Amino acid sequence: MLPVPTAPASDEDLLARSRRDPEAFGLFYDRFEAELVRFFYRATRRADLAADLTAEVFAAALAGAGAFDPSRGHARSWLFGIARHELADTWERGRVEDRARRRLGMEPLALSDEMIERIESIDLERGGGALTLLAELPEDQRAAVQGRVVEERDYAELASTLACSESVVRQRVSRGLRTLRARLERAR
Amino acid sequence: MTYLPELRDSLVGAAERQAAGAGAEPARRRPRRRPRPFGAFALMAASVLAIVVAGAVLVLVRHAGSVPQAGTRPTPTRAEVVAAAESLLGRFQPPAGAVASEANPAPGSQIGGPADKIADRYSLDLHRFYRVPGTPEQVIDAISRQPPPDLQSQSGEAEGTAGSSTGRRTQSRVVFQAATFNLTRTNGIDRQLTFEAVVLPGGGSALRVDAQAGYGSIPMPHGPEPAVTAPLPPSVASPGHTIAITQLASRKRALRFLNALPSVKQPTAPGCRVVAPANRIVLGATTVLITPGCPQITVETRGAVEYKTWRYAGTLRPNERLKLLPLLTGEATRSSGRARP
Repeated sequence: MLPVPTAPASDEDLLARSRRDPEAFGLFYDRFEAELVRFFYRATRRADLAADLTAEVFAAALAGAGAFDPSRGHARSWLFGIARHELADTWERGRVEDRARRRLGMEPLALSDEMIERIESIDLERGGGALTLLAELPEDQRAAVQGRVVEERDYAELASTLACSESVVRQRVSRGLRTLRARLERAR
Repeated sequence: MTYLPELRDSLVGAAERQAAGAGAEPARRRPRRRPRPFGAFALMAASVLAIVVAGAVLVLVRHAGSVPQAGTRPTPTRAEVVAAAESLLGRFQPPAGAVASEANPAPGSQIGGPADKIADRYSLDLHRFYRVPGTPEQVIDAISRQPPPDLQSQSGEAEGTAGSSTGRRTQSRVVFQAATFNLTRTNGIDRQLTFEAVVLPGGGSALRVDAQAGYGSIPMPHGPEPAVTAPLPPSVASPGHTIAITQLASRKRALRFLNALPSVKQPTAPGCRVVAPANRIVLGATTVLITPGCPQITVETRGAVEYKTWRYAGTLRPNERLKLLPLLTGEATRSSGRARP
């Protein structure tokens, strides 16, 4: 017997189910995480703030999922409404709130270098222009950024390939990304 | 691509807790059985009786002063806490050849002076100094091999090695070693034994033993300001250094630790206006700035904008301070360099 194909749940369904089915909220997160991180990163130009704001918005969405009314709009619009509020509040107060996360008893988000790099590489996702700029980097930085960000290789492996220490690779990646960002800003 | 996989896990965990809470609600909302006519009369009589009894109890309580609530133990008195700390110190058997010392045999070293430990209205710290033969590693190792009988857990470990933290190494020689034992809570008193050993110039080691006992409730972020400000750990008291914590697990621990500290509302605490050389602790994208004499830890991100500030104050529990110590002295690789003003 062939399995009966089922339509993927709508965003609104996932949100409604999240009160009793935690994994439904996980799926909801999967759908919007990247979009939200990019939204905040482009607004703040800071990876740590983008991560913090993303965490707070999803926590607020989880806490308020029961109050979501699908007759008043899509879940995506609702989520980005929270995001815009959170961003405005952050500019006003000069810091990111963690009220929703505390209410849910969530641990503070510990950011690793890898997470920060991944967020900072958002600029590179724009494709052609960034890749052209990447080719213009000094060779040591280009190889490090190419290996780490584009090919997603780990530091130990890169250090071995590039015949230097891991901390040198980290430095080159960091400098390369900084240069790329500055050049992208100028190119705009 | 997932940018923040840990956040997903954390949110799903929170959703699980929320779902569990929601599942419990219907049970609490079970409709009450309608009482029968005689039941209603009995219920009314019982209510009147309950009010009378409650009133009598209230009067008695007011006359008696503070009466502990049923099922809870009153906050321990300071005398009980002193007794607990003294008992801890008294039970400690120093290693063979140890000679008690009135003062710190290694003044100015990581083990600090008598006033370098937290002793505020929420905790008490009693200590002793010894001169001990052997290296700090050997001393702490010997102590760790015979843990206290009521050991609950060990903390202050830098890399999870059993028994002790990894000391700061100079030319592959351990010059400082520490171990902390959390003991079972007794009569509402949290107890902790800490051992710190530092190498002595003439040979042997100086050992400091701290018996710490904590009691009472500790006000957290929005509570009253503590009366006493905790000093910085001696290991970070010398200014002008950058400490880089390179391991991811350590960064996470340090960030969690710093995030758990009460935040400061005002941007600058009194006493921090004078620009002094400071210690910078680099935690990935985050830089922590510790200025000696200033009760505030500043957390910057990407070295540019001050993102959050935190107070490093007397609200710290003894074990919180000790958690930071190995992070700063144990795994941290220290490099010289003046802090930016």
